[in-house]
Amino acid sequence: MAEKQQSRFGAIGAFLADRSYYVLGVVLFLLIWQAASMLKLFGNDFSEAFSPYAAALALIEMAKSGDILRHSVPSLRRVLVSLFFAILIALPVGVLVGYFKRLEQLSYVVFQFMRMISPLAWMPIAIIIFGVGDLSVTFLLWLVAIWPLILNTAHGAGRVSPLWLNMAKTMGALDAGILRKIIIPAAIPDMLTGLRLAVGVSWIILVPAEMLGVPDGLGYFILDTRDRFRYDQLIATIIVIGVIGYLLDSVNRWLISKYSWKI
Amino acid sequence: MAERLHDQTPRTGGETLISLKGVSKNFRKNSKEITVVNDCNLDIAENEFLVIVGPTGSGKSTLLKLIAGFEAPTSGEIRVGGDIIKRPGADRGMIFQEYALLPWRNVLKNVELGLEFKGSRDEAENRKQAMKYIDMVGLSYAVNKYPVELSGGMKRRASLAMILVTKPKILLMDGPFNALDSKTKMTLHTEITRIWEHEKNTIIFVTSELDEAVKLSDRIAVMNKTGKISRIFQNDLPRPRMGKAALDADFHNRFVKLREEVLNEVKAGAGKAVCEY
Repeated sequence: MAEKQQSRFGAIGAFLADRSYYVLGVVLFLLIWQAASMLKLFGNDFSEAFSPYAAALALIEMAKSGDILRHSVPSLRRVLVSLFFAILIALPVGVLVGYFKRLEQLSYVVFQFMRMISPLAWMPIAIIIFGVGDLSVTFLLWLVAIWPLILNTAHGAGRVSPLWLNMAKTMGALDAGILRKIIIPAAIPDMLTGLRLAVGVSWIILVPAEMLGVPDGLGYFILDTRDRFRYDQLIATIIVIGVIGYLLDSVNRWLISKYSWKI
Repeated sequence: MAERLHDQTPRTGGETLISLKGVSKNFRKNSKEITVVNDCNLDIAENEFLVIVGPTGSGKSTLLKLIAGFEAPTSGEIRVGGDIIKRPGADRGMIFQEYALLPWRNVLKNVELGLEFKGSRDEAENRKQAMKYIDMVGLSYAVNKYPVELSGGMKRRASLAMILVTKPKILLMDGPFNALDSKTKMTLHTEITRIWEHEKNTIIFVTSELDEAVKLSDRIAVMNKTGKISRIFQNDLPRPRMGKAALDADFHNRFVKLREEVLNEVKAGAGKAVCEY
């Protein structure tokens, strides 16, 4: 009995010891950062404001004043709305392009070409069409999210095993049934990979996109802290951006591990 | 068990269900036209168990694909119940050499797939039907397992149940028990014979193993290197052929004699090809 308990404790201990390296990495990073600011590596004027300690104080201040929520919520809303519309278009397009070889050939060059253009390059056009504001930002984010979603979904739909299709046909399945029961479920792991990439790149593009004349959002707040010379808040905002991005990615990783099938 | 379920009526002289007339299939390979199936004529009776044997590359699998409707013959015609075959259909369930289980569905859900394709939405009824055939192939202990968790023999059984549940009149089996260990193979031979006697399907079974052919068949068609059916053997061995019955000396002698004759026919038709028998 005692032996069993000890081994169980040993297993938990080993697990914690293993996981502690993640925490240790963060602690080391903070120490190096603190040391850099104490050695005034960022220059005499800024070093104090750039320290993790100052950032932590600014974070508390921003949480209390409501600044974090005030600017995170619109940012998240823009990303989620644009993702919703990107998924709406990309999944059907991806499945069709992946399944029908001719459609894949027709769209290949255009899609690969479009995907390499930074959405910020479309910014003037977005402003001409949608005006300065929310709609332009959402459009740019939509434009950045749609390519990884389409291309990954197409990849997934394209590598459906011909065996599964033949089996479905010998069971008398029709095209609609094959699409619903075989192609779409087969493509789900790739769709989720596409979603993960789309969320990642949207969150990255969000900050510059929100510098284009919207009155709120984390990208806006970065410029705002600079204009107010509040570099401690600037660093705190960067931390907020990083943490939310990490959490969004964690959700995606969880989705992938939950809904991916293995061969 | 199989013994008692066995249907004693002779199978010869039944109604013709599948009819092949002058069926040929050519493929282009390196800009050369090669004939894989060559002028095959064959009538298969309802509830017959026909086994096709032949050396590697004799077109056995291609012939099966033609009957399934996955390929169109270059010339000749294939009729099932009087109608020319144009495409795959639920009346001809094909069981492939490779497993075609969907990796994201467990055994039960895989077997239910065919019923879903038929548009049957009664989940309780689908489940009941699926369980019936999962039981029949002896896999009820693994209904909740996913394909990654199954052994080769279990995958075969699951594939068999997937097709059986759609109740095809005709079962097309392309080397379904290849590469299984002999114990599993023996069990599946008993199972498939029992299912065939119970469900009254017509079975066309392609194999490269003559023991299997003699054990299962009503008739054995031998294909040769040129893609022709060189000879058809009538297999009058009494059923059941597995278990105790196989120990009978007279049965054993007849079994070996028929296998020998088929072997000679296969060897004669193999030409320079590597003969695996």
